[in-house]
Amino acid sequence: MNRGLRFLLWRDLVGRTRAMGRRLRTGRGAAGALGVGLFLVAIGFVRILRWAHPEAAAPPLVAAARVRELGPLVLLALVALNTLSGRGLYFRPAEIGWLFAAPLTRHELVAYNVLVRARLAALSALWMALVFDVGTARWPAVLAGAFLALLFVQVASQLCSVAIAWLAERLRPAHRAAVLALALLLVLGPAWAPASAAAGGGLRAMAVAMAGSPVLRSLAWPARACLELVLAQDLASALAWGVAAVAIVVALVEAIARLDVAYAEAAFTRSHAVERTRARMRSGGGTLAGGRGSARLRIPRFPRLGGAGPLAWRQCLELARNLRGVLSMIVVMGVVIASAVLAPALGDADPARRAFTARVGLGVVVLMSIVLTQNFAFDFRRDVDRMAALKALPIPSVAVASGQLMAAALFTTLLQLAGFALLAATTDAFAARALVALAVPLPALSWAAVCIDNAIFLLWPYRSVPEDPGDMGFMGRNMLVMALKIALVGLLALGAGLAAVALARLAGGGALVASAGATACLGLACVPLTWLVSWAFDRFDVSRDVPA
Amino acid sequence: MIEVRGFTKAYGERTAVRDLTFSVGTGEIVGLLGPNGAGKTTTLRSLAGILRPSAGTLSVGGFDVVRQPLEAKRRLALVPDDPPLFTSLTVWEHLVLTAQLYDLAGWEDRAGALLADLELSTRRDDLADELSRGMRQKLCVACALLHEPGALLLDEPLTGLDPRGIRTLYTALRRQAAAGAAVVVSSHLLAQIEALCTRFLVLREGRLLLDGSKPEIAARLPALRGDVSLEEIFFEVTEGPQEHEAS
Repeated sequence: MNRGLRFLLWRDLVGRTRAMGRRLRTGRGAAGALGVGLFLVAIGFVRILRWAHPEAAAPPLVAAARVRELGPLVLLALVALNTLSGRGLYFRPAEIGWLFAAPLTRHELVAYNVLVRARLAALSALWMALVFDVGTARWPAVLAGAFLALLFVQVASQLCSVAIAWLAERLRPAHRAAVLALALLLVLGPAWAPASAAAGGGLRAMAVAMAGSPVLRSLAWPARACLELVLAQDLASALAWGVAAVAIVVALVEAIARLDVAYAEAAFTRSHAVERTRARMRSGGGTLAGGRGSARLRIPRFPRLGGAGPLAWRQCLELARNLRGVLSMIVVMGVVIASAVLAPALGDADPARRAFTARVGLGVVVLMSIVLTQNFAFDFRRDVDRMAALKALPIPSVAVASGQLMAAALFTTLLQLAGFALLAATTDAFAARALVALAVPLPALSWAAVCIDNAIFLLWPYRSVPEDPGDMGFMGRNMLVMALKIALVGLLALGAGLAAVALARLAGGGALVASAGATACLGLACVPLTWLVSWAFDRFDVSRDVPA
Repeated sequence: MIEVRGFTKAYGERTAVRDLTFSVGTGEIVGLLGPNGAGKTTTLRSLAGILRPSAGTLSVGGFDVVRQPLEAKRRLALVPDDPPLFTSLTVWEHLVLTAQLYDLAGWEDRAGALLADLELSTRRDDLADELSRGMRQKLCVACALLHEPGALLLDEPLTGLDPRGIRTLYTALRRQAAAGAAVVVSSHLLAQIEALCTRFLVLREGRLLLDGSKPEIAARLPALRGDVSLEEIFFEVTEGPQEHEAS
């Protein structure tokens, strides 16, 4: 490999390590590291407990049988996702600027790209190996297998992208679309019948049935070596599967380098498209809100409210005009919940189990305060590149904070109310009075959740966009934020619940009095939380804190 | 040094550049002009081997960019628009990277001199993301000049440079041209580029409309009289009827 590429790989690694070291020397960096440390200690504690008392431990997070059954399908889905997103053939802008015009062979460029991906895959695999407990699998095997599986996803998706570019060079767009549609039909067609036959058993049963189809099994065959490595119980089988997995990855790399296609142009075009999408996602603050907004909905202007009104109006307008992305996320969540929880229960003849499922549904709707605000960020996170403009506004920071938070809190509440209405219409498990009592504190709960999200973001700024679909570092950070948010919102909800019970007992009232007490308690908590966000906004230094 | 013959580049149904033919000899500094979407950047990227031509040939130093890409690329340097740098590398490390990519030997003295010429010596150990836009631009130029390319392609190199930076860049480019390089500069800053270039290529909608020195071009435009500026020529050619085909 060219000396310059080796130098670049090494210096980039050193530079990133140094940057991490610099961040750790700041108060916020140290606090973040402490959080990660505590998280790892908690995981380690669970691992030691499982090792010391295997009989008393809870079942592992991922069963070995599931890895064999569904792992290949998951990896294929990741390959497809990576290819469709254009990230299969992605180079950073600096790499395009410096390497594409330099005298480098295609083999060198491909090898460099794969090594960069390998670095990211190694970090992600480390996270996966720490977090996911796979049956009786050995930790080093899980680490090596996860690393090779993620690398396989990257390389296979790059090969798919190069193959699509090869088709694009030879076929007209309409013919190309027809060929791709035919390929999709050939792959998914045979899997459709068994999957639909298993629909009654929920998503997992459908996925297992799909994974069993001969075409998908053949396609997923190269991924199997990585997964067998994860499950290897002895050194010999680990070595054998490891060598097989490496050989498959090398063969894929060789195929990429040999396919007769304008590699630099294909990589340049796709990277450029990815950068455009990333720019929209970065300013959109959400993984699925990165699509190009097409709707031109209008919203009446809000009253000024000390400056908060126009800011909230703008966020609501952006939310309305990016509704497609947001709704697609909600639809995906809805389908998962419906097929995993509701569909099996609707056919259940046992009323007690139906009532239990309805309560689970209610819990899911209430938890939307935490989950939804994590994924769509029509607040400060959306404006990470516009913080200087926000700071320059002649508006008190409390008003800026209130205006920025309003859209996300309002939208979450509206969705929750819609969820409550759906539950009231489809089940008879709840009295209308109980649903109303539960709905009243929801705005305050959502506001508190959005406040916590934004306070964490402003104090430890991060980009809410992953490097690629397999970016486990991003997922790990999201998990940390989520854990912190659940803990804080849980504490608030507990306090509000206790206050509600106390008030109901003192006043002798029923559910509505308790609800009013909880709402007042949560509303009071929202005051210091909003102040915390405004304080964090004041502290945000645009010259230092805007994440790369 | 640079030869472009019948170059056409299409993106699907849209043709960005159509049957473009020109050459740039050693020592020439040529301005590539045209409104947005005229095909300037596509031409420069194709010359640099990033985009593959749909038709025609492009060669640098006698080497075909498509068939002998490594030989051609060893003889050229591209300074892209809004130069992307590696944020975790210092100024000096960018030069080290360039030297290694181009497999140079004994380059350190030249690198030091380039940094001094482009007023970057004091920022040698700064990380790239600590530099202003103009300094990033100058660093890219320093790296482009390090391997003494025979063909130097610059896409909007003046954006973000202060007056001193522009003067410094001009001096460096003139010196490079005097040493035998063919320089192609694409820019919208007409008043600035007028002072630098000896010849101009005017593109519009992917076609070459005019090719020549300023007096030669002005002589072909009967609507313009006297000592006209490049800006007047530009508007006359790019906003008037498409009748000025390059001869």
